[in-house]
Amino acid sequence: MGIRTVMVTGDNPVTAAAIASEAGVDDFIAEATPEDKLAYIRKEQTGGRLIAMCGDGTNDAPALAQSDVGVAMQTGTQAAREAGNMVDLDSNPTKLIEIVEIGKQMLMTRGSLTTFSIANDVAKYFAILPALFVATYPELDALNVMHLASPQSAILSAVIFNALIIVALIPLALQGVAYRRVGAAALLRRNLLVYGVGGLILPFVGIKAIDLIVSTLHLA
Amino acid sequence: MSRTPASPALFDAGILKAAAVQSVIKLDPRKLMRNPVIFVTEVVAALTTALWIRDVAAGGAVSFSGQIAAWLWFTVLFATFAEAVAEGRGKAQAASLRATRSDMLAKRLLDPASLGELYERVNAESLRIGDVVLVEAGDLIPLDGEIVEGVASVNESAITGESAPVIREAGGDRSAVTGGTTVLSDWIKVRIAAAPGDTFIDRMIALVEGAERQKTPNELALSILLSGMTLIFLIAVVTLWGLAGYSGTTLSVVVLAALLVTLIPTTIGGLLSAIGIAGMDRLIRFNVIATSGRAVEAAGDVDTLLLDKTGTITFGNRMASAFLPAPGVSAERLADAALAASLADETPEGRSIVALATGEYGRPAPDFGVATATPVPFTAQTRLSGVDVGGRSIRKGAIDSALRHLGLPLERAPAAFRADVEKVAQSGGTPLAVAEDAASCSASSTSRTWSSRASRNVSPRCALWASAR
Repeated sequence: MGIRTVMVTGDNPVTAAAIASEAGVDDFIAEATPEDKLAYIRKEQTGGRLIAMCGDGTNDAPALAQSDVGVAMQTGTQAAREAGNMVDLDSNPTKLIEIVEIGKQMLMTRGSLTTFSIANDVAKYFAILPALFVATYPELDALNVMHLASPQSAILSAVIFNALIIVALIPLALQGVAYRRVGAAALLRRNLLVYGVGGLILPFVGIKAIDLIVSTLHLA
Repeated sequence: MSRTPASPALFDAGILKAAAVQSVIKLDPRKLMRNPVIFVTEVVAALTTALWIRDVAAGGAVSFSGQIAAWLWFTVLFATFAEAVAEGRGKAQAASLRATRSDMLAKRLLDPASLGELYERVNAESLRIGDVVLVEAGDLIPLDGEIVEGVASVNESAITGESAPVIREAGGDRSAVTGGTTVLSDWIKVRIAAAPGDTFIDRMIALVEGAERQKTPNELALSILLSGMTLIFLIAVVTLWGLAGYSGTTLSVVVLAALLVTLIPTTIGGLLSAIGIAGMDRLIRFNVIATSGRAVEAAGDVDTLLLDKTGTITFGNRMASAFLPAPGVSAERLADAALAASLADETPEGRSIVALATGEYGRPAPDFGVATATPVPFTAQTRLSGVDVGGRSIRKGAIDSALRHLGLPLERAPAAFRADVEKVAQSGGTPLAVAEDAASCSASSTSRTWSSRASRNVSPRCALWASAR
């Protein structure tokens, strides 16, 4: 995921190096006092990086408070649990990776649905504007690519689609868009394709379908 | 109570029913103000309804404006429904937490300072921060606190969903206990650290119910953007009315209202808070409680993970595994010094040293007079702990700290001692040193003292044991 892992320990450098190479972390800080941890986090943060840290001891508390995501273990001391902004009830530090994934998923869901929502507008221009002005400017009928039944049914269908799409997207909003462990660029490209292009095309289909129902039932 | 199967289906009938009621309650404009896009939709829906009522009264064509008004209201309702469903999933979890927060009696110690066992039974609600309570097997821990004395196995399933008991003990990193959990065996004395109503469980309930939810910075930025778009479309639609009038088209207000609502970003406006709540909810389902949405969001952008080694990369507590005396130091002498230095150390590591010295090495527990022995507690700065007894000062701790205590640079420590340190460290163990600073030891004798490994010769000062990670 392009994230650097750094091991912090109060142990001496040799022990730290032995465990770090065994665990496969990118870097380690040995013989770390609480001040050292705090200073390291501040140094990284001034470089514009966001730091996640997990810990359980009272000596971790300042660092947990300073880090952007401080995950305290439920088994830890009271001070640590107060200082962090998350508490892991299972006290399993490897969860930090999944927490990052959940955060990414939430940001992606929000971005995807925003893209979708804004892309939706295009179809509504095609549905409503010709309907409004077709009496005055008959040439505008060329924009009526969906061949909606009447100006009134066009407007009603667009409003109905606008309401129903919220309900249709509730499951996606709650579950989040699928997160895949591929690069950020690939993910962005894929989501733009699905939610951007999808957001352009879907309303044309949806409004046309609703228009058919509305005109068949003679609602407008 | 296991959390794993408790996770409700995406659309649980009970949650949906409650959410349907909530979505109507949430129509209150004062609450909707927080969400400008949906608030505008509601205002427009009200306006359209008013026009429809006027048309009904005037006896005109009402079918079209009536349907538009109805669907505009549906748009608002669906948006509040989305938020209510997201909140409902958290509330189901809060209900099971609240069950643990019943009225309970606590045994408040009358005189905690004098180690007396006298206690009075008081209602947990009347406890104050700093009170010390006795919790015995079968008792509920009344409020959050720190164990000051004792060790006990605690069932924390009310919070973690994990039914296997955990050990909580004074000293070290496992001394915090949570109100609402049950002591299964033994007893502990707990110093209360949270006022009633402000405990971990109380805060968890508030969090999972979404009562404390605040907009995160990104969410705030996005809703400002959405509000801006709403404003632009509002201006555009109003201008359109004038333009249409100029070109001879009369546009009805209902049509313009429909145009406005379809163009403003109602989809994301309606789902924005549901997405945020669902993110926190996914964490809770994952047994992680986030105290702010901001943290969840920041987690998505994290560049660096800091992992604490102990309990993270390595599991369990450090346990002493061997004493490696420096040459000139007998194993017994080292074991005695280590034992003396660790007697007051309540951490698992300290206790493991005592166990190793008295068990495998068969050393008797030292008998100091109470007046002469002064325990020196561990601080993160000195990284040493130990005891001052009868003019001797015994310290144990990290190698460099112990050497600094002796005023001895590492280069001047004997080669064999350094070799031992190196060997233990490279195997992934944590070497610690015991330094005994007897008044009789001169600085010149130090280099000899710190020499080679398992030699049994007498040496007054230092030695080393390895402690497994």
